[in-house]
Amino acid sequence: MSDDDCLMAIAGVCEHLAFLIPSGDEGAAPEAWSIQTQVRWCGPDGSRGRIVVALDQGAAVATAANLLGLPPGQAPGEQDVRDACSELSNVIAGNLLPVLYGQDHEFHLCPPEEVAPARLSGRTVLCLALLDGTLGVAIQGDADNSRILKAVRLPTGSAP
Amino acid sequence: MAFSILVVDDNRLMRGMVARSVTLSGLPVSSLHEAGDGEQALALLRRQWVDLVLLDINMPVMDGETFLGQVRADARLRATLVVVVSTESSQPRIARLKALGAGFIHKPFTPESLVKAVQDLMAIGSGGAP
Repeated sequence: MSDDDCLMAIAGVCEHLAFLIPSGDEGAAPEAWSIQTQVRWCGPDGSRGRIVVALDQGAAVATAANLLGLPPGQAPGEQDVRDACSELSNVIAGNLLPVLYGQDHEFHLCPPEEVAPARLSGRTVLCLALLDGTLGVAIQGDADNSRILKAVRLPTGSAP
Repeated sequence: MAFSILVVDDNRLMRGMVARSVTLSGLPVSSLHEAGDGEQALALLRRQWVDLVLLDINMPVMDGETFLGQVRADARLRATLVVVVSTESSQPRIARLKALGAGFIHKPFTPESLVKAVQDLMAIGSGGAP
């Protein structure tokens, strides 16, 4: 698993779920995120972590407008933006976990929670430049994640 | 024959998006219902005839897997067609859902994949055609 693999998964969700098209530019964190949502997860052997998804104003509004199928020029409501970003976070988290740990383990994802926008931090922080704005993802997990990685690397049939 | 369809997802916008995908898919629809979790969905199924349930998995109150188990355990509901629409990627969990006679499509999805999942499910006949 590389950062590129994760970015590909994130970009795929953005494009296919919310019609957010990557701009091709190198992603850089904006001065301030507009909305941030975290999805906490727990997995095998007591492992746990969270995936934080942040959007700037342009990306957040575009996500809601596209999920709602609004005509150009029509702005989504504030609650619609929150709900849209929650769902985008949920789908990004669901698609990132198998990239990170493979498809042989079961993970429970908690419902997305909105958190106060802050600088993204974690063992992996990725930014994706979109035509409509910027999306950032922080992958945070405690040391227990190494247990999943170890399990994933075990030969078939010997996993706990 | 037109389907009475129930969309179960805790996110209001996602329910709307799934409903729009149903419309775009060309599936014949007689009525479209929505529920925000498994408990609401079960209550609706017990008072309203539904042919096809499009079901999210990760939901508060009652998740999709628990809902599916209860549907299959209920003699009056067990023939209901269920297609899981989820971000789930765990192969063991997907296998469990399929063993309960559910179709599966992964979010994000296309209207075409929705139609194919329903057609596959009807061909298998595991849930019983409407």
